[in-house]
Amino acid sequence: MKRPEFYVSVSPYMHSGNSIQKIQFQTIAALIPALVAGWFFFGWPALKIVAISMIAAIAAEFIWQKALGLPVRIGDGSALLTGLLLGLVLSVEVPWWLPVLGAFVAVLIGKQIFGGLGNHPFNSVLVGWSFVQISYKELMQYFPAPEPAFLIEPGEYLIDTPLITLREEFDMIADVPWLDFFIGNVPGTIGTVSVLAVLLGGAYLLSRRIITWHIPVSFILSAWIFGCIFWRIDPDMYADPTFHILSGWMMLGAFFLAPEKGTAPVSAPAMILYGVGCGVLTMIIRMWGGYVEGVPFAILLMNSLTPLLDRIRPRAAGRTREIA
Amino acid sequence: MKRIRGISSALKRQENIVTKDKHLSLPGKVVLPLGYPHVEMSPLVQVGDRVFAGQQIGEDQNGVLPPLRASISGIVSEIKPWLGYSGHMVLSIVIESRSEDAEETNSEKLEDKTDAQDILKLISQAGIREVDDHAWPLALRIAKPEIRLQHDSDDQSPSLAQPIEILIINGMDRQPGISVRRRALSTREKSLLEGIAILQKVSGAKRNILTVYKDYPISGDFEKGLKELGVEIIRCPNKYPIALEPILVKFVTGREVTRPTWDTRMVGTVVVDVITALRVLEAVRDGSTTFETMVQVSAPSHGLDVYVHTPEGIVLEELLGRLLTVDIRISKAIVGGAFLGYAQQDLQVPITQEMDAVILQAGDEFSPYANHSCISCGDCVRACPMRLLPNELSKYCEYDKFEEAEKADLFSCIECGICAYVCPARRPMVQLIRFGKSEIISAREES
Repeated sequence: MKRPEFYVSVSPYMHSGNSIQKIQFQTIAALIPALVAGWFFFGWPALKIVAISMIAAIAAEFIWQKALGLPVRIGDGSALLTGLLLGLVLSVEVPWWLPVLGAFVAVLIGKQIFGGLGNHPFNSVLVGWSFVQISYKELMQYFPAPEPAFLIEPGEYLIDTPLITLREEFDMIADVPWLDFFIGNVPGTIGTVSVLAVLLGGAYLLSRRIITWHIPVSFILSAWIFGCIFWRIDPDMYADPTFHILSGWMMLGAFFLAPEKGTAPVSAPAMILYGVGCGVLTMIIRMWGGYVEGVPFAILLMNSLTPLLDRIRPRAAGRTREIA
Repeated sequence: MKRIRGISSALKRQENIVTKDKHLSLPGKVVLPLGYPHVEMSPLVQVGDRVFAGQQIGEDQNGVLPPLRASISGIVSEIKPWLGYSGHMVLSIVIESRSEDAEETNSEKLEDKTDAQDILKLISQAGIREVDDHAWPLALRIAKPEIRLQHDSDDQSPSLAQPIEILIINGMDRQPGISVRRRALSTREKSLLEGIAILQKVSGAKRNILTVYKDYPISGDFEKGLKELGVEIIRCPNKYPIALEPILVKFVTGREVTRPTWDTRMVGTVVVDVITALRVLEAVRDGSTTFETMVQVSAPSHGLDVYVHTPEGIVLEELLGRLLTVDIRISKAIVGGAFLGYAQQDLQVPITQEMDAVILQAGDEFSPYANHSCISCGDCVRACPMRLLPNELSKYCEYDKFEEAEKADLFSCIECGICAYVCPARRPMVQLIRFGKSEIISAREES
C-alpha cells in the first residue's frame, strides 16, 4: 500500500501573511516622500548621500553575516532601512565616507553585535548617527540653504537650521513663515526638513498598522505641552511650541525612529509613557541641553528604559484570584 | 460587554464555494477511542463480540465521562491502542460493520417522563461528547444542584453545588473557516427551541442567552420562539476567538473564568453549543444513543467544502475515500480546524464527536514557521485575547526559563494561535508555549 506523505506541523495552519520584509519595505516606502523632499530642496547630492549610506549598510550586514557563518538576511530590508534612515538624518554637505562609517557603526555596533534584528537595545540608526556626530562634530555642522527644484522660491530667512538659529538669534524665528517650516523650505538634514513629507509617510505607516498611534501622538503632544508651559511663562526666552513641533527631527523621530520595533515598548500604556518621555526629554535638551537637537538623544535615553517599561503589563485573563 | 481582542473571523472566504450536506452510508469499520489520553475508560466488550448500534461498550469507572456507545452494529474485531487526533495513543475499540446485524435496539424514551432528574439521566446515558473543552462533561455541567446524578453525590465539587444563573447557548463557530454550528442553527431552528427548553429545565438558569455572530440572520419565527422561552439573543462581533468558552463568558457576562480549571460553574455560568443542544433533544425526545456526527470537510484549494454526516468513529481515510471522487493531492490533513486542530501524520485517525472539521491543504497553502528571533514588534501583545505577552512567553520557553514563563501567566494561554497567526517573524508561538507547559508539568510530576 502506498501511503500518502503528509507534513505535520503545529497549529495554527494559517498565517496573516505579514512578514519582516513587508514591515521593512513598507517603512522604506513610507520614507520615499521624505527622500523626494530632500531631493527637491537640496538636489542630487541628497540622493547620493542616501545611496552611499544604504549600500554601506547592506555591505556591513553582508560582511558580518558571511564572516560569522550566519544566514545572510540582507533581503529582509532591515539593513536597507537602517541605511536609508541614516542618510536622511545627515546633511548633504558631509563628505562621502561619513555615511559609510555611520552605516557600518549603525549595522555592526548598533544591531548585529547584539544578535541582529530584534535584539538590539538602542535604535541602530541613532547609534550610527551619534557616533559620527560626536566624532566629527565640525563636519556635521554645515547645512546648506534650500534650493527648491521648481515652483517655489527658496526660503531665504535662515542661514542655519531653525534650531541653531533659535539658540543664536532667537528673534529671527518669528520672521519665518510657518509654511516654510512645514514644507521644508529651510536649511536642515535631507529627510527631516520637510514636515509635510514625513507626515505623509507617517500616515501611511499608521494606515498599514505598522506603527500604532500611541508613540507618535504622545511624543509630539507631550513635547508641545511641555514647550507650551514654558512659552506661556516667558515668551521672550522660550519659543512657540508649534515651532518646536515643526522643526528639526521631531516628526521623523516620532513616526520613524522612536517606534522602531525592538527598541520601543509593546503594550499601550508603556508606549504612551515612552512617547511622553521622548517628548519631554527632547524639549529639555533643546531648551537647556548642550545639543541644539534633542530628539536623537531623547530617543536613545528612552530606549534604555524600554525593558523597564515593558514590565508594565495588563493583568492576564484567568489568573486565579483569592477565593475566600 | 467590552471590546474583545482577536482577529476577524471572515478570513479568506471563497465566495464561489457552495457548501453542501452529504450523508454517508455505513462505514466498513469504526474506531471508538475509550476516553482520552489521561482519562481512559474500560471496555465492556471483548474481541469477537457482536454489538448493536447504541449498545454501551465502554464505561468510566469514576463515573465522570459519559458512557461510550457503539455507533454501528457489527463485530468487535480489535481492542488496542490507536493513534488519536492529538497524537496520543488511546485504547480504542474497533468494530467491523455487519449490515445483517443492523436492528433497532430498545432504548428508553422520554414518553411521559417530565421530571428533571429523569431527563438528566437520559442525557448522561446518551454518551454525548462535545467539541469544546469544558471543565465538566455535559451531564454534570448542565444540572442544577438539586438534581445531582446519583453516582456523583458523595464527592460533589463545590462549583457544581452552586446554582446556575446564566445558560449560554452558543451558536457561534469556534474558529475561522468552520460553519457547522451556523449550519445546524439555520437548518434546525425548531428542534433547537425544544432542545433549549430541555436545557432550561435541567439547569434552572435564571437568564438564558443565545449567542450568534453579529451578521447572522435570525428568522422571525425563531425569534418569536426564543422570546416565548425567555431567551435573549446576544450578537457578538465576528471575531475569532469569541466562541471559546473563557472569552465568550467574559464577553457575555463580564465574569472571568479562572485557571487552572477554567470552570464556568464557579461563576454560575454554563455554555452549551447548539449542536450539543440538538443532541440533548435527540437523546431525550427520541431516546437516541447513536450519534451521527457532522464534520465539515474542506479543501480550499480544490473548492471542496462539505458538511459530512456520518456515524462517529469512521477513519479519515475511508471518509475521504468516499468523499473525493477525484484524486487530489493533499500535503497536510488537519483535524479540528485551522487554528485549534492537529495536523495528522496519516489518515488512520477516527473522526469522533469531538471533531467538527477536517481541513485538507495542498503544498502551496501552508505557512511554514521560521527559526527567526523575536523582533519585539508587539503585534501578538495587541492581539492576545487573554492579555498575555506572548512575545515574552515564547522567549522564556525558547531559552528554558520555565519558572519565569509560569510567573508570566503561561498557563493562562488557551493556545488559540492568534500570536502565531500575526507574527511577522513567523515564530512557532504555540509550539513554544506548549513545550513550556509540558516541561513544567513533567517537572512537577517528577518532584
